[in-house]
Amino acid sequence: MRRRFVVATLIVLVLLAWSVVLPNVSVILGSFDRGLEDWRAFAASPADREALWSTLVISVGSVVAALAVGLPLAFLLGRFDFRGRRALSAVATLPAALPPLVGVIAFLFLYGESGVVTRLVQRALHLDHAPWSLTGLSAIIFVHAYTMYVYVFLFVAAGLDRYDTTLDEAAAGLGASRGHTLRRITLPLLTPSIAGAMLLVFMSSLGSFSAPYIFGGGQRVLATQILVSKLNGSMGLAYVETTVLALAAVAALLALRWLERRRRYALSGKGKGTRVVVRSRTARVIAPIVAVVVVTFLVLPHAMVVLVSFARDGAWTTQILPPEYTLDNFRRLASDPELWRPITNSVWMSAIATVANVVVCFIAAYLIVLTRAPGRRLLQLLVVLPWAIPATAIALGLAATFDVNQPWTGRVLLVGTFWILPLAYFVRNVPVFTSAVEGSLRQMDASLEDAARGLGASWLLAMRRIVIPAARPGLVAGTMLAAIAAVGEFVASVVLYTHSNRPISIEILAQLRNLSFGTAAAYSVLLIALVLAITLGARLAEGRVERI
Amino acid sequence: MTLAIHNLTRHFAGADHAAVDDVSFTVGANEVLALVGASGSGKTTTLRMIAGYEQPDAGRIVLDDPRGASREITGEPPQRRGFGMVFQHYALFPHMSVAENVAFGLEARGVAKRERLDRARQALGRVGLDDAGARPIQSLSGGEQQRVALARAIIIDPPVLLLDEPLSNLDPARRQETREWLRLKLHELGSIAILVTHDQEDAFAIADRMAVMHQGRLLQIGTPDELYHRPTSVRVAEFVGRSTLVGARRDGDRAGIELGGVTQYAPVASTAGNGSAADRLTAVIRPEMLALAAPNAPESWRGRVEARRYAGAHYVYRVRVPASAGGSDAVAFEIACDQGSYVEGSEVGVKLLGRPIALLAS
Repeated sequence: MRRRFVVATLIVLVLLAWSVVLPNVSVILGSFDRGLEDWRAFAASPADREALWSTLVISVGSVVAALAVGLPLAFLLGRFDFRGRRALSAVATLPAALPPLVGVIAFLFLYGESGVVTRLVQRALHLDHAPWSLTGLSAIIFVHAYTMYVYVFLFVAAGLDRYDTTLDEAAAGLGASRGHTLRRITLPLLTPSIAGAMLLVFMSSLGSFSAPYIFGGGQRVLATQILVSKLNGSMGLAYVETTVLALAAVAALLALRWLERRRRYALSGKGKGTRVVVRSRTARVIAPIVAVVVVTFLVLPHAMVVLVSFARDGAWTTQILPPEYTLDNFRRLASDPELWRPITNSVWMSAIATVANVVVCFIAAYLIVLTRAPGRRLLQLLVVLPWAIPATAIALGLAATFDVNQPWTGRVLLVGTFWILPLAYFVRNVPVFTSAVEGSLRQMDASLEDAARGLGASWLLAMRRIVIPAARPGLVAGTMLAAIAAVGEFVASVVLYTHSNRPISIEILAQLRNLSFGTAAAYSVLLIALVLAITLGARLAEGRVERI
Repeated sequence: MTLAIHNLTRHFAGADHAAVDDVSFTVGANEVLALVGASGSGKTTTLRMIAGYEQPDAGRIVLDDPRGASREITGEPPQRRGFGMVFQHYALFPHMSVAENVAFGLEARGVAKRERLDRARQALGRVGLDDAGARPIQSLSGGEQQRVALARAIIIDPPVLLLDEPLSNLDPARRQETREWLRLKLHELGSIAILVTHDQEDAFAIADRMAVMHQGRLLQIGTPDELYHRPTSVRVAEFVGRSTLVGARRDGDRAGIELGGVTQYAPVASTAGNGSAADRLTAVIRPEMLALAAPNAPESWRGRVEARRYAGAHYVYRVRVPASAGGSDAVAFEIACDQGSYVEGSEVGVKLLGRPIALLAS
């Protein structure tokens, strides 16, 4: 029995070393290929300095903006009851359901130079020019705030759920004002939740590619610089940029983990629904209005993508809304094999990657949680590593590693083939999938497996009847999250795709470049539909789990 | 200083009766009042309204100063009332040290750090935790946490001290000694103290007066002795102490109880309700009002020992006495007795000792 675990650990370790560690080592080594020359070039390049600086500004700005939106919303929905609360909480997490590139496009349609809202404001105020331009740092932070506040909202809402509100009552009873209580009691106790969310926002912004790429307006960030360097053939510089980006990510990870750990207290709340009914007259009038405005703002991007997907390509020029509507966009997708290709590509590649995730991540989680196999600490480190490394860096690592055929060093030729993208999706989803399964297994009483085996069950029977059922909620959630991330993946894809395996996201970008907004939107709608279908499938599977 | 509650009412949405229904009472300085009742009786809601965490739908809460100034606090938020509260699970701030917890009320009042930590040390001294200031909250035992919670509440010199189930988290051994300690401390403070408990033993041990609540209503308020010996309703009789309820007649200043054809008499302590229906009353018989005798002792009811329980200084017997000769109705008495010589199943005589008995209208 012990030997089986050792062998399994060894296999998984080798697999992760091959797919996760080797690419990163290749990148770091590659950055020194010409000695320190590429590092000097990086240090001397004004473009790179600007990119590094704006990457940090964007990341910090996104964290601040996401906190500014997510914190008040979490408190509002978690602590108060008012008309419109249910509608608001129903759509509060909607931005997270938008694939990254699609969100950016929706913002372009709405708030871009010729966007609907922009033109409405321009016309209402009789301006000669658009009242704003959706470019530069502020535009990127704006989009990030929209998509990433959800992390803050979800983390803090979960924290508030477990929060013991008698602590706030005790502070109030002792004479503390609301502000004092918030500053000294509530927020410090929510620090782990807030730090966790800040980390997620910071990491996502650091590696964010879509927003800077689509409407950065010449704004350089590290993630886009990497692609530019690669396309220019300056691989050494690309490796240096990648290394710097990864280092920044790891530094942020360590700093915020420290903050999260330093303040960890068991929040022992009973989680009873102690929402205060809003009583003041002004608040009762204002709350529903605010709710309607916020709900509209949250739903608008989705609605806009759907609307544009029915717009005839080329017809929408200076009007506020697209003037002509048609089903042609969808019809073309279904009938033209070239246009249908990206859809089958995305579905297949994400399916392959997710199946690999199911097998590898389940075994990894099992070894980590339920065995004492030697090497499981290393395993634990390897499964979270891809999380700390921005997707562009992962992609570049794969590109750097699998561009030659040297099987004796573990390097096989995958670049330019179909398989490089499923591999990238697999690597990106290892952390989230493994932690989902780990979570489920940790809730299982470890003695259950022992008990089953003590009753004479074989290892296989115990696995089938005890362990897998226990892991199932995590497997379902992990599958859902991995499949959703893979089917809409853009950041790694844009570095690694070829014409024949181009996924939906790349095709959306191509159509956008072509100014075929309707077709791009139709792809986006299809992508949203796929995400919904995956979510629904997971819900059904979860329902079955609950009935067992 | 007096705290007066006038007609306090609170109705929660979706509940079929008011959580607190027209409750009025007054508590004076240096008095400890216990709100007792089963869970859902409205005692905690009443306490939370006094503290300001719940707003009443109707009624007033008034704090009267000895100098005659009367301050209505019904709508005031808790932070302005300046009351001290000890929560059921103590609600100590887990991210602060013991001293910081205790000093928090002073911090909220803008007292300088040095002074507030000084006073926190004094307050900790008053609850017998002189050297605990620097310790983290997580390192405290349940009893210590309770003392810290009390120190934190009294440091702001509250005119009213509120305690929600202060003993419910202690193990039985600690509970006993903590009761006495708490009673001493509360009287030492001299402020108005109101505690909520579902445990009548706690109330007996700590409180000067008890208010019994049921389904949001205040049934009776009085000293433990009053509630025990002169209850005004069946619920109070059943809730406070052990008792057997049995039909009785009033005969002048005596109560007559007839069982199995034998009538025994005892003086009347009190009569609640309209005393007009003098022959259809209920007597509240406590275990110490009865004595066991030989089966054929004169002027005694005949019964059978059903169960015998050792209770330390004495035995408690459950004796079944038929209501009428040959009938199937019977009354089960609890009887305290020094001797353990009556065995289960044996025939015994039951004698009424002639101690004053409370009568209730049926």
